[in-house]
Amino acid sequence: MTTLDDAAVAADPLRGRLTAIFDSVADGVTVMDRAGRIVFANDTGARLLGRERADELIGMTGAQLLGEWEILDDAGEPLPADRMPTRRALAGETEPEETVRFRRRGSADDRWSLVRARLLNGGSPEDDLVVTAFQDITSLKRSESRLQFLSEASAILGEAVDYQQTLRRVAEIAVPDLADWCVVDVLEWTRGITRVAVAHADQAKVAATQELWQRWPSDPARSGAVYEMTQRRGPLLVDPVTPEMLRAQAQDAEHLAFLESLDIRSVLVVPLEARGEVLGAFTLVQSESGRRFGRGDVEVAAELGRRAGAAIDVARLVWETHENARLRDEFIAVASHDMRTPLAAIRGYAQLAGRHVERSETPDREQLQRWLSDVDASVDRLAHLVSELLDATLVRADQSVPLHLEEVKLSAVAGEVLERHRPLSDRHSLVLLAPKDEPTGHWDASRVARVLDNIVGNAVKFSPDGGEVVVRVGYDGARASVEVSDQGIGIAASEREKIFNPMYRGGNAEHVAGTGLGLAGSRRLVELMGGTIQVESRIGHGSTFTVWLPLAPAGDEEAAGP
Amino acid sequence: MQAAQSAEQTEHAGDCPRILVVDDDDALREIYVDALSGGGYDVRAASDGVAALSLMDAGWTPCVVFLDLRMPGMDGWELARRIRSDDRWRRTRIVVVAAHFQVDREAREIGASAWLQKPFDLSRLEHHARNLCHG
Repeated sequence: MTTLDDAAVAADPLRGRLTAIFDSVADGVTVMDRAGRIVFANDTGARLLGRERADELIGMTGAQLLGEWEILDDAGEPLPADRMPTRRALAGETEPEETVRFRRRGSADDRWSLVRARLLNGGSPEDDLVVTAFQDITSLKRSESRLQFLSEASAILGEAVDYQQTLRRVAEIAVPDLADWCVVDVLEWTRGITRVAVAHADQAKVAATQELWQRWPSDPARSGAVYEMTQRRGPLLVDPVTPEMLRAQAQDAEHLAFLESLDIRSVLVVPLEARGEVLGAFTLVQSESGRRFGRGDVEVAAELGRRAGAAIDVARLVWETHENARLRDEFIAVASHDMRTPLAAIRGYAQLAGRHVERSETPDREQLQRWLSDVDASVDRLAHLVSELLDATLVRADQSVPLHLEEVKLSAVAGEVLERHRPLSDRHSLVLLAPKDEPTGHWDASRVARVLDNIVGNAVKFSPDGGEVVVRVGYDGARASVEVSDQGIGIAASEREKIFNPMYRGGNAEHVAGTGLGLAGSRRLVELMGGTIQVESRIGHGSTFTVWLPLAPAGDEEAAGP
Repeated sequence: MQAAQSAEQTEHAGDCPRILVVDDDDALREIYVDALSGGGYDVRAASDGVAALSLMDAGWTPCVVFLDLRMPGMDGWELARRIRSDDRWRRTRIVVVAAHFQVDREAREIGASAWLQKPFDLSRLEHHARNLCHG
């Protein structure tokens, strides 16, 4: 309850009622005398000026208030005192009006008011009063600024050529208008989660979060912004962030101290989404400004996530198109390279035989026979390459592969594959284990061989220190299996599904290119035969790939293709 | 150039000129060795850079190395770099024998004297051997 003067109100009930009326209006109202002292304020005015009750303001001067508040114009520039409507009204201007932006000194929590002033002529200067009305337009200004942010962000996203750079720019314009911090994480199917951007007005703080992220990484398969978004598929607002929440997040005492030092008040996470798929996350944080996120922020951020998701999607499609063209060129180059080797052998043997016949009176029939059978073997190699190439091309183009199903014993196929690999590495011992009562199945032997060839080749390649590569044939009722285990470097959990992606390129990228099927093609061939490929792995201990194939020829119709 | 070659001849006086064939393909190694052996050369073969280097390190210095590029283990590029950077093998010539699309450019880049693209006529192999060992 506010009064001009308690005694006066008691004496004059009309004034008391007037005060009550002022307290109920939505605008803040203050009344000052010519000396700049506040003689009246309503409750809303008190709240806008950071007081709980209006009588705390009575007697304060304008200069004292200016000491507490930073006063800015709409554009954020300091507002000179003589542009304040109160001063202008005192100077004789009729009903001056100004949009004023103000914040407590040292804070970043900006507020806006539309300020109007009016001089009440008291007859003599000492009796003059100025009535100032403050209309709080903060939420209006915030929506305006959010809309402006969205439109700026959309313009940037529309340029999306390098989407990572684009997202960095969006993060930069989100700070400090929308949030104190903005972090962008993107889920890359080749390399897990990439932290694309961290923006904060203070560069030292950016470095601090990088440190936080490196020292206390979260497991992307179990926690973190992107994980949350893939689970929830919608915005997550944590407001307010409590000390208990930080304690629950912290991995150790030092981590907790670090988190506490960031002064996190409010967190908003939204998914970057396109075509129903979560591609990453925007994390917005309010900290030292003392601001908190509200519903308007959630809507804007969610919209931003959708627009950014679409931009990433477009950029990726463009990239994939280029990458496909590049892979195709590389494929042709490698294919022609690989075919030249058996061609050189065929020509070489033929020429050796020709010379021999030319130079000897009595050609050595046995030697000639050997050369001819070497030519034959090289033609086999070439034919094998050509059909492998054709398979790889069909599989890459996602076309059906005609299968030649026949009765096959997996241990026989695996044995031949191991024989081919044995001369290629003396650091590995290749072991084949099979049960005595191994059943036969109806599969395409050359395709099974091709798949195993690929997996055994990888087992050798990714165990550079050598060791055992064990190929174990087994069966469990309806299915037969071939398990290939190595003692190599292993595959990280986050990579285990990605290695089956056609676009996946391992650490050893130059060898990934080739005419071979790759794991993507291998899985597809196995699926065409009605089976599956699974992988289990421990970093530093090795990997086990298991090919499962149905014993009953159930998948024949679909496997046979059109 | 002329002086360097006659010095090499003296070094190998009494011996057949040495030729080293480096290729990871078993069939091709056998063919190269067969084709060159009749020409009065001491021909040896290695299946990768490591094997070739250990032979040369042991003092068996060839006048020419027929070198494949893409090989597992130490590849042809690395072996060429090692040969070129070691003074013991300053007179050893390299002939790149590869299936590469741009084998000529690769050969220039590693400082080879000549190149052959697979598949090639065996007479080309003998031609380079003769030129580079008997120059």
